Amino acid sequence: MLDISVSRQLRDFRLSLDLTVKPGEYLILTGDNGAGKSTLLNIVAGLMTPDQGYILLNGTSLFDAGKHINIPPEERRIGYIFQNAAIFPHLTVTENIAYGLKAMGMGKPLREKKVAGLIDQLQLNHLRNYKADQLSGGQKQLVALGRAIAIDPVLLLLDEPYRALDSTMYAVVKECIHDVVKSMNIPCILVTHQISDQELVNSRTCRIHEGILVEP
Amino acid sequence: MATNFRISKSLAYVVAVTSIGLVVLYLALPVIALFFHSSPEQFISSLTEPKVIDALVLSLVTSTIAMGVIVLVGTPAAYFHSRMDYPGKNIVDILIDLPLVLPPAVAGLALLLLYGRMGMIGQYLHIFGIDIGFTIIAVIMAQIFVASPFYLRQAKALFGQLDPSYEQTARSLGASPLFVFATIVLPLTFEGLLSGLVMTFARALGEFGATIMVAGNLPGVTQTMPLAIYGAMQGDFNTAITISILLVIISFGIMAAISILTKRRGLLA
Repeated sequence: MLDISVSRQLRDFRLSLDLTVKPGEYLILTGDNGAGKSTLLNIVAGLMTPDQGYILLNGTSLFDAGKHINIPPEERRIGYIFQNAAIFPHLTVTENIAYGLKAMGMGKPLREKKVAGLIDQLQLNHLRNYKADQLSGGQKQLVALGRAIAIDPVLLLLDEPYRALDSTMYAVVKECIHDVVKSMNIPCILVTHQISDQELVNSRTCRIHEGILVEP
Repeated sequence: MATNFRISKSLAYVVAVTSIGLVVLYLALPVIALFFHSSPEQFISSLTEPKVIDALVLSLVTSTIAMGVIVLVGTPAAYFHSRMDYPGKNIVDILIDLPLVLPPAVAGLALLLLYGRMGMIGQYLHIFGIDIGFTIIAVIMAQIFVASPFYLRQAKALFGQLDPSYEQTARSLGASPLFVFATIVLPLTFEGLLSGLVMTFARALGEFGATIMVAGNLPGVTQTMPLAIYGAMQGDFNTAITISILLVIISFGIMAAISILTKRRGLLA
Protein backbone atom coordinates (compact mmCIF):
# COMPACT_ATOMS: atom_id res chain seq x y z
CA MET A 1 0.00 0.00 0.00
CA LEU A 2 1.35 3.41 -0.98
CA ASP A 3 0.16 6.41 0.98
CA ILE A 4 1.31 9.87 -0.11
CA SER A 5 0.66 13.36 1.16
CA VAL A 6 3.25 15.75 -0.25
CA SER A 7 3.69 19.29 -1.44
CA ARG A 8 6.50 21.00 -3.27
CA GLN A 9 6.82 24.44 -4.79
CA LEU A 10 7.44 24.20 -8.52
CA ARG A 11 8.30 27.09 -10.82
CA ASP A 12 4.77 28.27 -11.55
CA PHE A 13 2.62 26.48 -9.00
CA ARG A 14 2.65 24.32 -5.88
CA LEU A 15 2.34 20.56 -6.29
CA SER A 16 0.03 19.41 -3.50
CA LEU A 17 -1.20 15.82 -3.55
CA ASP A 18 -2.79 13.21 -1.28
CA LEU A 19 -3.27 9.75 -2.70
CA THR A 20 -3.32 6.07 -1.86
CA VAL A 21 -2.59 3.10 -4.13
CA LYS A 22 -3.42 -0.46 -3.04
CA PRO A 23 -1.35 -3.55 -3.89
CA GLY A 24 -2.14 -4.80 -7.41
CA GLU A 25 -3.89 -1.52 -8.23
CA TYR A 26 -3.05 0.84 -11.08
CA LEU A 27 -3.26 4.52 -10.41
CA ILE A 28 -3.44 6.06 -13.85
CA LEU A 29 -2.32 9.67 -13.89
CA THR A 30 -3.24 11.93 -16.75
CA GLY A 31 -2.81 15.65 -17.24
CA ASP A 32 -1.23 18.26 -19.47
CA ASN A 33 2.52 18.50 -19.97
CA GLY A 34 4.11 20.26 -17.02
CA ALA A 35 1.13 19.54 -14.73
CA GLY A 36 3.40 17.77 -12.22
CA LYS A 37 2.98 14.08 -13.18
CA SER A 38 6.69 13.28 -13.66
CA THR A 39 7.55 15.43 -10.63
CA LEU A 40 5.27 13.26 -8.51
CA LEU A 41 6.98 10.09 -9.77
CA ASN A 42 10.42 11.63 -9.07
CA ILE A 43 9.30 12.56 -5.55
CA VAL A 44 8.04 9.04 -4.84
CA ALA A 45 11.26 7.53 -6.26
CA GLY A 46 13.35 9.83 -4.04
CA LEU A 47 14.91 11.71 -6.96
CA MET A 48 13.26 14.95 -5.81
CA THR A 49 12.51 16.05 -2.28
CA PRO A 50 9.12 17.47 -1.26
CA ASP A 51 8.95 20.59 0.92
CA GLN A 52 6.36 19.03 3.21
CA GLY A 53 4.45 15.84 3.83
CA TYR A 54 5.13 12.13 4.00
CA ILE A 55 5.40 9.03 1.82
CA LEU A 56 4.49 5.68 3.37
CA LEU A 57 5.09 2.45 1.50
CA ASN A 58 3.79 -0.77 3.09
CA GLY A 59 3.92 0.93 6.48
CA THR A 60 7.54 2.06 6.06
CA SER A 61 8.23 5.77 6.00
CA LEU A 62 10.21 6.72 2.86
CA PHE A 63 9.88 10.41 3.53
CA ASP A 64 8.61 12.41 6.46
CA ALA A 65 9.39 16.12 6.60
CA GLY A 66 8.31 16.34 10.26
CA LYS A 67 10.55 13.45 11.36
CA HIS A 68 13.39 14.39 8.97
CA ILE A 69 13.21 11.01 7.25
CA ASN A 70 14.32 10.86 3.61
CA ILE A 71 15.33 7.39 2.41
CA PRO A 72 17.71 7.68 -0.59
CA PRO A 73 16.44 6.32 -3.94
CA GLU A 74 18.77 3.31 -3.91
CA GLU A 75 17.20 2.07 -0.66
CA ARG A 76 13.56 2.53 -1.67
CA ARG A 77 13.31 -0.54 -3.92
CA ILE A 78 11.04 1.15 -6.41
CA GLY A 79 10.97 0.06 -10.04
CA TYR A 80 10.96 3.23 -12.12
CA ILE A 81 10.61 3.20 -15.89
CA PHE A 82 11.32 6.51 -17.60
CA GLN A 83 9.66 7.80 -20.78
CA ASN A 84 12.80 7.09 -22.81
CA ALA A 85 13.38 3.72 -21.05
CA ALA A 86 16.94 4.95 -20.27
CA ILE A 87 18.60 1.72 -21.39
CA PHE A 88 22.29 2.06 -20.49
CA PRO A 89 23.83 2.38 -23.95
CA HIS A 90 27.19 0.80 -23.13
CA LEU A 91 25.66 -2.38 -21.68
CA THR A 92 23.94 -5.31 -23.38
CA VAL A 93 20.32 -6.28 -22.68
CA THR A 94 21.53 -8.95 -20.25
CA GLU A 95 23.86 -6.52 -18.46
CA ASN A 96 21.09 -3.91 -18.27
CA ILE A 97 18.70 -6.36 -16.61
CA ALA A 98 21.46 -7.54 -14.25
CA TYR A 99 22.50 -3.98 -13.29
CA GLY A 100 20.35 -3.57 -10.18
CA LEU A 101 21.21 -7.05 -8.90
CA LYS A 102 24.92 -6.30 -9.33
CA ALA A 103 24.51 -2.95 -7.56
CA MET A 104 22.84 -4.72 -4.66
CA GLY A 105 25.74 -7.18 -4.44
CA MET A 106 23.97 -10.36 -5.57
CA GLY A 107 26.45 -13.16 -6.41
CA LYS A 108 27.09 -14.00 -10.06
CA PRO A 109 25.47 -17.50 -10.21
CA LEU A 110 22.25 -16.31 -8.57
CA ARG A 111 22.26 -13.14 -10.68
CA GLU A 112 22.71 -15.01 -13.95
CA LYS A 113 19.91 -17.43 -13.05
CA LYS A 114 17.50 -14.63 -12.21
CA VAL A 115 18.36 -12.60 -15.34
CA ALA A 116 17.96 -15.69 -17.56
CA GLY A 117 14.51 -16.25 -16.04
CA LEU A 118 13.45 -12.66 -16.72
CA ILE A 119 14.80 -12.74 -20.28
CA ASP A 120 12.72 -15.89 -20.84
CA GLN A 121 9.63 -14.38 -19.23
CA LEU A 122 9.81 -11.24 -21.39
CA GLN A 123 10.81 -13.22 -24.50
CA LEU A 124 14.01 -11.28 -25.02
CA ASN A 125 16.22 -14.31 -25.70
CA HIS A 126 17.13 -13.27 -29.24
CA LEU A 127 18.17 -9.79 -27.98
CA ARG A 128 20.28 -10.76 -24.96
CA ASN A 129 23.55 -9.45 -26.46
CA TYR A 130 22.06 -6.41 -28.17
CA LYS A 131 22.76 -2.85 -27.08
CA ALA A 132 20.27 0.03 -26.83
CA ASP A 133 20.93 1.38 -30.34
CA GLN A 134 19.95 -2.00 -31.82
CA LEU A 135 16.57 -2.11 -30.04
CA SER A 136 13.17 -0.76 -31.09
CA GLY A 137 11.18 1.50 -28.74
CA GLY A 138 9.02 -1.40 -27.56
CA GLN A 139 11.99 -3.68 -27.00
CA LYS A 140 13.64 -0.96 -24.92
CA GLN A 141 10.53 -0.71 -22.74
CA LEU A 142 10.56 -4.47 -22.21
CA VAL A 143 14.23 -4.38 -21.20
CA ALA A 144 13.48 -1.46 -18.84
CA LEU A 145 10.61 -3.49 -17.36
CA GLY A 146 12.85 -6.53 -16.89
CA ARG A 147 15.53 -4.38 -15.29
CA ALA A 148 13.00 -2.75 -12.94
CA ILE A 149 11.35 -5.98 -11.78
CA ALA A 150 14.70 -7.76 -11.36
CA ILE A 151 15.18 -6.00 -8.03
CA ASP A 152 11.78 -7.30 -6.78
CA PRO A 153 10.33 -3.80 -6.38
CA VAL A 154 7.61 -3.03 -3.87
CA LEU A 155 6.18 -0.33 -6.14
CA LEU A 156 6.26 0.29 -9.89
CA LEU A 157 6.38 3.77 -11.42
CA LEU A 158 5.83 4.02 -15.16
CA ASP A 159 6.24 7.33 -16.97
CA GLU A 160 4.50 7.10 -20.34
CA PRO A 161 5.87 3.64 -21.17
CA TYR A 162 3.80 3.35 -24.34
CA ARG A 163 4.82 6.64 -25.87
CA ALA A 164 5.73 6.30 -29.55
CA LEU A 165 5.07 2.54 -29.68
CA ASP A 166 3.32 0.96 -32.64
CA SER A 167 0.05 -0.88 -31.94
CA THR A 168 1.68 -4.34 -31.83
CA MET A 169 4.41 -3.37 -29.38
CA TYR A 170 1.92 -1.33 -27.37
CA ALA A 171 -0.20 -4.46 -26.84
CA VAL A 172 2.87 -6.57 -25.94
CA VAL A 173 4.35 -4.04 -23.47
CA LYS A 174 0.95 -3.35 -21.92
CA GLU A 175 0.27 -7.05 -21.38
CA CYS A 176 3.72 -7.60 -19.86
CA ILE A 177 3.29 -4.70 -17.44
CA HIS A 178 -0.19 -5.90 -16.55
CA ASP A 179 1.07 -9.45 -15.87
CA VAL A 180 3.90 -8.15 -13.70
CA VAL A 181 1.69 -5.91 -11.55
CA LYS A 182 -0.83 -8.75 -11.16
CA SER A 183 1.71 -11.47 -10.35
CA MET A 184 3.80 -9.32 -8.00
CA ASN A 185 0.70 -7.78 -6.42
CA ILE A 186 2.37 -4.38 -6.01
CA PRO A 187 0.92 -0.89 -6.37
CA CYS A 188 1.64 0.83 -9.67
CA ILE A 189 1.46 4.46 -10.76
CA LEU A 190 1.16 4.82 -14.52
CA VAL A 191 1.47 8.18 -16.23
CA THR A 192 -0.12 7.93 -19.65
CA HIS A 193 -2.12 9.68 -22.31
CA GLN A 194 -3.42 6.50 -23.93
CA ILE A 195 -7.20 6.40 -23.40
CA SER A 196 -7.34 2.59 -23.53
CA ASP A 197 -5.09 2.30 -20.48
CA GLN A 198 -7.88 3.75 -18.44
CA GLU A 199 -9.86 0.58 -19.11
CA LEU A 200 -7.28 -1.58 -17.30
CA VAL A 201 -8.69 -3.98 -14.72
CA ASN A 202 -8.28 -2.78 -11.14
CA SER A 203 -7.34 0.72 -12.20
CA ARG A 204 -8.25 4.16 -11.00
CA THR A 205 -7.75 7.30 -13.06
CA CYS A 206 -6.80 10.71 -11.70
CA ARG A 207 -5.96 13.87 -13.53
CA ILE A 208 -3.36 16.37 -12.31
CA HIS A 209 -3.91 19.99 -13.11
CA GLU A 210 -1.23 22.46 -12.02
CA GLY A 211 -0.11 20.21 -9.19
CA ILE A 212 -3.58 19.41 -7.83
CA LEU A 213 -5.47 16.14 -8.25
CA VAL A 214 -8.82 16.57 -9.96
CA GLU A 215 -11.38 13.94 -10.91
CA PRO A 216 -11.41 12.97 -14.58
CA MET B 1 22.44 28.45 -66.91
CA ALA B 2 24.64 25.37 -67.20
CA THR B 3 27.66 27.60 -68.04
CA ASN B 4 27.04 29.79 -65.01
CA PHE B 5 26.88 26.70 -62.82
CA ARG B 6 30.19 25.42 -64.29
CA ILE B 7 31.88 28.79 -63.66
CA SER B 8 30.70 29.01 -60.06
CA LYS B 9 31.77 25.39 -59.48
CA SER B 10 35.25 26.10 -60.90
CA LEU B 11 35.50 29.26 -58.81
CA ALA B 12 34.57 27.34 -55.67
CA TYR B 13 37.22 24.77 -56.55
CA VAL B 14 39.90 27.45 -56.99
CA VAL B 15 38.95 29.18 -53.71
CA ALA B 16 38.93 25.84 -51.87
CA VAL B 17 42.33 24.72 -53.16
CA THR B 18 43.93 28.14 -52.57
CA SER B 19 42.57 28.66 -49.05
CA ILE B 20 43.28 25.10 -47.85
CA GLY B 21 46.72 25.29 -49.49
CA LEU B 22 47.49 28.55 -47.69
CA VAL B 23 46.43 27.10 -44.33
CA VAL B 24 48.53 23.96 -44.84
CA LEU B 25 51.58 25.93 -45.99
CA TYR B 26 51.34 28.47 -43.18
CA LEU B 27 51.09 25.78 -40.51
CA ALA B 28 53.42 23.18 -41.99
CA LEU B 29 56.31 25.34 -43.24
CA PRO B 30 57.63 26.41 -39.80
CA VAL B 31 57.60 22.76 -38.70
CA ILE B 32 59.37 21.69 -41.89
CA ALA B 33 61.95 24.44 -41.35
CA LEU B 34 62.78 22.93 -37.96
CA PHE B 35 63.48 19.52 -39.47
CA PHE B 36 65.54 21.05 -42.35
CA HIS B 37 67.86 22.81 -39.93
CA SER B 38 68.97 19.62 -38.26
CA SER B 39 70.52 16.46 -39.63
CA PRO B 40 69.55 13.09 -38.08
CA GLU B 41 73.11 12.76 -36.69
CA GLN B 42 72.96 16.18 -35.05
CA PHE B 43 69.51 15.39 -33.65
CA ILE B 44 70.60 12.08 -32.14
CA SER B 45 73.83 13.48 -30.68
CA SER B 46 72.01 16.45 -29.09
CA LEU B 47 69.40 14.07 -27.69
CA THR B 48 71.96 12.48 -25.40
CA GLU B 49 73.05 15.79 -23.89
CA PRO B 50 72.31 15.93 -20.14
CA LYS B 51 70.44 19.24 -20.36
CA VAL B 52 68.10 17.81 -23.03
CA ILE B 53 67.50 14.64 -21.04
CA ASP B 54 66.97 16.66 -17.83
CA ALA B 55 64.48 18.98 -19.54
CA LEU B 56 62.65 16.05 -21.14
CA VAL B 57 62.38 14.12 -17.87
CA LEU B 58 61.35 17.22 -15.91
CA SER B 59 58.71 18.14 -18.50
CA LEU B 60 57.25 14.63 -18.61
CA VAL B 61 57.24 14.27 -14.81
CA THR B 62 55.73 17.70 -14.06
CA SER B 63 53.14 17.45 -16.87
CA THR B 64 52.08 13.99 -15.66
CA ILE B 65 51.72 15.20 -12.06
CA ALA B 66 49.80 18.30 -13.22
CA MET B 67 47.52 16.09 -15.30
CA GLY B 68 46.95 13.76 -12.33
CA VAL B 69 46.03 16.66 -10.02
CA ILE B 70 43.69 18.14 -12.64
CA VAL B 71 41.90 14.78 -13.08
CA LEU B 72 41.62 14.05 -9.36
CA VAL B 73 40.24 17.47 -8.44
CA GLY B 74 38.71 18.46 -11.79
CA THR B 75 36.57 15.37 -12.40
CA PRO B 76 34.36 15.66 -9.31
CA ALA B 77 34.38 19.47 -9.62
CA ALA B 78 33.19 19.34 -13.24
CA TYR B 79 30.61 16.67 -12.38
CA PHE B 80 29.01 18.53 -9.50
CA HIS B 81 29.26 21.84 -11.38
CA SER B 82 27.30 20.37 -14.29
CA ARG B 83 24.72 18.70 -12.04
CA MET B 84 24.08 21.47 -9.50
CA ASP B 85 22.72 24.99 -9.58
CA TYR B 86 24.40 27.29 -7.10
CA PRO B 87 24.92 31.02 -6.64
CA GLY B 88 27.84 32.34 -8.67
CA LYS B 89 27.88 29.38 -11.10
CA ASN B 90 28.36 31.74 -14.06
CA ILE B 91 31.36 33.33 -12.36
CA VAL B 92 32.87 29.87 -11.80
CA ASP B 93 32.35 29.19 -15.53
CA ILE B 94 34.29 32.36 -16.37
CA LEU B 95 37.03 31.47 -13.88
CA ILE B 96 37.43 28.05 -15.44
CA ASP B 97 37.88 29.62 -18.89
CA LEU B 98 40.05 32.52 -17.69
CA PRO B 99 43.47 30.83 -18.09
CA LEU B 100 42.65 30.26 -21.77
CA VAL B 101 42.57 33.98 -22.52
CA LEU B 102 44.90 35.26 -19.80
CA PRO B 103 48.47 35.86 -21.07
CA PRO B 104 50.64 33.14 -19.41
CA ALA B 105 53.04 35.84 -18.15
CA VAL B 106 50.15 37.40 -16.21
CA ALA B 107 49.23 33.98 -14.81
CA GLY B 108 52.86 33.47 -13.74
CA LEU B 109 53.07 36.86 -12.08
CA ALA B 110 49.78 36.25 -10.29
CA LEU B 111 50.99 32.88 -9.02
CA LEU B 112 54.25 34.48 -7.88
CA LEU B 113 52.33 37.16 -5.97
CA LEU B 114 50.36 34.40 -4.27
CA TYR B 115 52.92 31.66 -3.63
CA GLY B 116 56.23 33.56 -3.87
CA ARG B 117 58.31 34.10 -0.73
CA MET B 118 56.65 37.50 -0.22
CA GLY B 119 53.31 36.39 -1.64
CA MET B 120 49.93 36.35 0.05
CA ILE B 121 50.17 32.66 0.98
CA GLY B 122 53.89 32.19 0.32
CA GLN B 123 54.97 34.47 3.19
CA TYR B 124 53.18 32.24 5.71
CA LEU B 125 54.47 29.03 4.12
CA HIS B 126 57.98 30.52 4.32
CA ILE B 127 57.63 30.74 8.11
CA PHE B 128 57.31 26.94 8.15
CA GLY B 129 60.29 26.58 5.81
CA ILE B 130 58.16 25.87 2.74
CA ASP B 131 59.14 27.80 -0.39
CA ILE B 132 57.17 27.23 -3.58
CA GLY B 133 58.57 29.91 -5.89
CA PHE B 134 61.39 28.74 -8.19
CA THR B 135 60.92 25.07 -7.32
CA ILE B 136 59.51 22.08 -9.20
CA ILE B 137 56.24 22.65 -7.30
CA ALA B 138 55.98 26.10 -8.90
CA VAL B 139 56.43 24.47 -12.34
CA ILE B 140 53.57 22.05 -11.61
CA MET B 141 51.35 24.83 -10.23
CA ALA B 142 51.90 26.94 -13.33
CA GLN B 143 51.08 23.96 -15.55
CA ILE B 144 47.93 23.18 -13.56
CA PHE B 145 46.80 26.81 -13.83
CA VAL B 146 47.20 27.14 -17.59
CA ALA B 147 46.22 23.57 -18.60
CA SER B 148 43.20 22.93 -16.34
CA PRO B 149 40.60 24.57 -18.64
CA PHE B 150 41.31 22.01 -21.36
CA TYR B 151 40.11 19.20 -19.08
CA LEU B 152 37.50 21.09 -17.06
CA ARG B 153 35.68 22.47 -20.10
CA GLN B 154 35.57 19.06 -21.76
CA ALA B 155 34.47 17.28 -18.59
CA LYS B 156 31.82 19.92 -17.85
CA ALA B 157 30.36 19.61 -21.35
CA LEU B 158 30.40 15.80 -21.30
CA PHE B 159 28.73 15.51 -17.89
CA GLY B 160 26.22 18.22 -18.85
CA GLN B 161 25.25 16.39 -22.04
CA LEU B 162 24.76 13.06 -20.30
CA ASP B 163 21.05 12.24 -19.98
CA PRO B 164 20.30 12.37 -16.21
CA SER B 165 17.71 9.60 -16.61
CA TYR B 166 20.58 7.06 -16.83
CA GLU B 167 21.87 8.06 -13.41
CA GLN B 168 18.37 8.35 -11.95
CA THR B 169 17.44 4.90 -13.23
CA ALA B 170 20.65 3.44 -11.82
CA ARG B 171 19.93 5.00 -8.40
CA SER B 172 16.38 3.62 -8.41
CA LEU B 173 17.85 0.18 -9.17
CA GLY B 174 19.78 0.25 -5.90
CA ALA B 175 23.12 1.74 -7.00
CA SER B 176 24.94 4.14 -4.67
CA PRO B 177 26.08 7.49 -6.16
CA LEU B 178 29.67 6.22 -6.33
CA PHE B 179 28.62 2.99 -8.06
CA VAL B 180 26.57 5.03 -10.55
CA PHE B 181 29.55 7.25 -11.28
CA ALA B 182 31.88 4.28 -11.79
CA THR B 183 29.51 2.13 -13.86
CA ILE B 184 27.42 4.66 -15.79
CA VAL B 185 28.93 8.17 -15.86
CA LEU B 186 32.59 7.25 -16.38
CA PRO B 187 32.12 4.59 -19.09
CA LEU B 188 29.78 6.88 -21.04
CA THR B 189 32.17 9.86 -20.93
CA PHE B 190 35.51 8.05 -20.81
CA GLU B 191 36.72 8.65 -24.36
CA GLY B 192 35.80 12.33 -24.25
CA LEU B 193 37.52 12.73 -20.89
CA LEU B 194 40.58 10.98 -22.24
CA SER B 195 40.80 13.31 -25.21
CA GLY B 196 40.47 16.33 -22.85
CA LEU B 197 43.20 14.82 -20.73
CA VAL B 198 45.55 14.42 -23.66
CA MET B 199 45.01 18.08 -24.60
CA THR B 200 45.70 19.04 -20.97
CA PHE B 201 48.95 17.10 -21.00
CA ALA B 202 49.97 18.74 -24.28
CA ARG B 203 49.26 22.22 -22.90
CA ALA B 204 51.19 21.48 -19.69
CA LEU B 205 54.10 20.16 -21.70
CA GLY B 206 54.29 23.30 -23.82
CA GLU B 207 53.84 25.75 -20.94
CA PHE B 208 56.45 28.55 -20.93
CA GLY B 209 55.29 32.02 -19.88
CA ALA B 210 53.78 31.30 -16.49
CA THR B 211 56.55 28.82 -15.61
CA ILE B 212 59.41 31.24 -16.27
CA MET B 213 57.72 33.91 -14.12
CA VAL B 214 56.96 31.75 -11.09
CA ALA B 215 59.63 29.02 -11.35
CA GLY B 216 62.49 30.68 -13.21
CA ASN B 217 64.74 28.80 -15.62
CA LEU B 218 67.04 26.70 -13.45
CA PRO B 219 68.61 23.78 -15.39
CA GLY B 220 67.80 20.44 -13.80
CA VAL B 221 65.41 22.06 -11.30
CA THR B 222 62.75 24.07 -13.11
CA GLN B 223 63.98 24.05 -16.70
CA THR B 224 61.29 22.27 -18.72
CA MET B 225 61.63 21.68 -22.46
CA PRO B 226 60.20 25.04 -23.61
CA LEU B 227 62.46 26.83 -21.10
CA ALA B 228 65.44 24.79 -22.26
CA ILE B 229 64.77 25.94 -25.85
CA TYR B 230 64.75 29.54 -24.60
CA GLY B 231 67.99 28.94 -22.69
CA ALA B 232 69.69 27.18 -25.60
CA MET B 233 68.78 30.02 -27.99
CA GLN B 234 71.43 32.12 -26.20
CA GLY B 235 74.24 30.05 -27.79
CA ASP B 236 73.47 26.38 -28.40
CA PHE B 237 71.18 26.62 -31.41
CA ASN B 238 71.38 22.89 -32.27
CA THR B 239 70.14 21.89 -28.83
CA ALA B 240 67.25 24.35 -29.17
CA ILE B 241 66.32 22.74 -32.50
CA THR B 242 66.61 19.21 -31.09
CA ILE B 243 64.28 19.97 -28.17
CA SER B 244 61.89 21.74 -30.53
CA ILE B 245 61.77 18.71 -32.85
CA LEU B 246 61.19 16.50 -29.84
CA LEU B 247 58.24 18.69 -28.79
CA VAL B 248 56.86 18.65 -32.33
CA ILE B 249 57.02 14.84 -32.41
CA ILE B 250 55.33 14.55 -29.00
CA SER B 251 52.66 17.12 -29.95
CA PHE B 252 52.01 15.39 -33.27
CA GLY B 253 51.63 12.07 -31.45
CA ILE B 254 49.20 13.66 -29.00
CA MET B 255 47.08 15.16 -31.78
CA ALA B 256 47.07 11.83 -33.63
CA ALA B 257 45.89 10.11 -30.43
CA ILE B 258 43.06 12.64 -30.06
CA SER B 259 42.08 12.17 -33.68
CA ILE B 260 41.87 8.39 -33.23
CA LEU B 261 39.88 8.78 -30.00
CA THR B 262 37.46 11.24 -31.60
CA LYS B 263 36.91 8.96 -34.59
CA ARG B 264 36.24 6.02 -32.31
CA ARG B 265 33.74 8.10 -30.36
CA GLY B 266 32.08 9.12 -33.62
CA LEU B 267 31.69 5.49 -34.58
CA LEU B 268 30.23 4.62 -31.20
CA ALA B 269 27.76 7.50 -31.18
